[in-house]
Amino acid sequence: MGLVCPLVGSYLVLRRTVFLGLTLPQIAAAGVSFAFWLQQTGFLPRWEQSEQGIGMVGSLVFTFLGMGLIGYLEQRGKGLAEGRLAAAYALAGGLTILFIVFNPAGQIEVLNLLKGEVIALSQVELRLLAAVFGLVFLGMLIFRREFLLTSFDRDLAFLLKGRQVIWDVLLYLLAGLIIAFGVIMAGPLLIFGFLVLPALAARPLVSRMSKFLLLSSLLGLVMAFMGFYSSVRLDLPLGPTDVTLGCCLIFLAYGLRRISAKASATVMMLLFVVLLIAGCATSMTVTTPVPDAKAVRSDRIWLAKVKNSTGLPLLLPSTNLLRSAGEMFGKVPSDYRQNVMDLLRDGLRQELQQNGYRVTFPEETDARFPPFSAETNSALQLGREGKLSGLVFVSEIWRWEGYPQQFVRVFVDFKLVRLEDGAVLWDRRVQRAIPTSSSTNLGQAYTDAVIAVVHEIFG
Amino acid sequence: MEQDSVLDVRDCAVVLDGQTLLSGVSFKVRKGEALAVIGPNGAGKTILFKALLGLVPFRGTIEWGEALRIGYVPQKFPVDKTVPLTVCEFFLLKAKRFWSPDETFLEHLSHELSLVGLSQEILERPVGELSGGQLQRLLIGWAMVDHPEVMLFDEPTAGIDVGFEETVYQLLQRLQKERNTTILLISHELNIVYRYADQVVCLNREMLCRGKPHEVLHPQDLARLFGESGFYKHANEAHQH
Repeated sequence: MGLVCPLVGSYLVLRRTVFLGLTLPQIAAAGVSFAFWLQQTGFLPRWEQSEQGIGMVGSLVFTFLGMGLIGYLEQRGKGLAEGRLAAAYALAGGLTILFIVFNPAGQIEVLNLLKGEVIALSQVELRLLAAVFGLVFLGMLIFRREFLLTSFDRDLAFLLKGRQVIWDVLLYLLAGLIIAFGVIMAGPLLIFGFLVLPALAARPLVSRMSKFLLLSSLLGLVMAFMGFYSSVRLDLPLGPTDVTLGCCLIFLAYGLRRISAKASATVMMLLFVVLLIAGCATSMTVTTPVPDAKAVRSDRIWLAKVKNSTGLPLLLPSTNLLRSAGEMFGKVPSDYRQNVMDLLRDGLRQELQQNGYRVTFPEETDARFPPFSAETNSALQLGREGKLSGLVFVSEIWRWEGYPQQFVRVFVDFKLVRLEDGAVLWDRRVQRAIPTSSSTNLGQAYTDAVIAVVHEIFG
Repeated sequence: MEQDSVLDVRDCAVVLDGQTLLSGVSFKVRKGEALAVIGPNGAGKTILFKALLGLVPFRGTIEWGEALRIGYVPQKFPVDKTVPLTVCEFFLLKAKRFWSPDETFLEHLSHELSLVGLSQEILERPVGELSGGQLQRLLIGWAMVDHPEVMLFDEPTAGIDVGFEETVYQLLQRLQKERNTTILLISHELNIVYRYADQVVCLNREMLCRGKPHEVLHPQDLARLFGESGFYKHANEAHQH
């Protein structure tokens, strides 16, 4: 995406139709939310193989319909071109939100998509993406001269090659393909960012067309890698992170233009080295498992309730076999619904016991004990107010999003704190997408993810 | 179409958005001839050229000779100041190989540039950084680089310093003589028309006169064409002197 989108975007920049790069992804997004809404109402069937398949169809149909309509209005030449695109953008944005409102069941998925929350792609989606983007990349390479000619000056192109409608159609077809497929995979914001920002950043740095196209693609790759890295490290949504980085690249490019070519190259090299070192430092970070009781010279540990800071209930579906069995044997009250926090705490308790700890629950001392925050001072304060002593193991879930047969995205903080002096003996953040492709339902996916998290922190 | 004709225009009219910009234009141009189109601002001269090139829809008949290469120097060529395209790349758009040009084309390019008074050093400069005069020379060079049989010049000396104006018109004559290029020219300067054109077409939304300049450009015709501004008198008198 980072390589191919800027190539197409370079021609949009040359044609001074940058706003088209914003409007078309938004139209595609409207198509996605429309398709999900139709599916919700039962007009369209559910595709078991890929939930995104129906969205992809919606994205493709809306993109090409939108392009056709914009092209038709362009041909008629009435009104201001920017005005037409702005109106189309506003309409598409409005429709996207309306279709989301009509479809509360699919709100989270569509909103994640619009935010550019790319978490993971299935193998099928990845292959499809590679095939489409590979095709577009080849097309851009083979016909680059024709695209350049028609983008630079249409009248001159006409004089040289005759009527150039075919190249316009082909260029917009390729652009439509990457926009339609890109939007369903990564969201409109990210696609717009990749289309336009690298080309805008490359423009002040080069004076040759060949270098412009090459540098646009390279900056697109830099933006993709840096954006993805920052997004994962800082737990930020990918789309906004990438777009912000792309804008930083533009500012950097205009700054570099003011200094000599040699100095620019030096700054770029330094930046590259710093990024490389940062990347290596991250990959070499040693993650230690939870220390055992001997290592911390204390075997008494308070295992606090897991704090849920996601704002979601994280309940397991009622089809959970463990819960059903518990209900049958009278061990679980019928109004109780098991959740991720309980599953995680169970897993932690077992592992801590195996590590030689005597595990006690704070609520056994006082039933009013709330979950502990992963923030050390508030955990200490709570422990002291409850007159606890020894060690306390706290866990806080910041994000827990599951996609059956795909992955569960988790972001959980763990901490082992000595209550006497507030020393943090061990801490760990687990933040990643855990593949759960073998799980058949959300309950199974959550259970698999809990097992993976516990396994990760205990080594 | 006659054998030595390169262009035959019959009752050509251009109507855009319901507005008639041009009507009743008919003329023929023979190979190697120079035809000047004159008329006041807004008379439809540029529109006529665009119709000849097929850039705007028209009514009537415009018939070009078979397999003609046509060069066009527009009156205005809006270039984005930041467009990442060098002069060399601009010319390479006309080359067989854009991304890996051959030496022969580059040598030929240097020669053509020298004809319009541009040095080889300009090749590496971005098109957007050229001055108005340099850009105009560049456009002339670009139009003639592949030796077209017909060249259309829409006020080729607009934005060019006075010294270079004469060079441009001498170049037009040279193209006519050495390459037998047919030239269609829009100009406001009647002395140029008298000196270089074999034929003249007077336009003011419609065709008012057509023929050899000395035969058709009478003071009363010019008055009808340009109004009683006196603008034309100087040129006409200059010719008589």
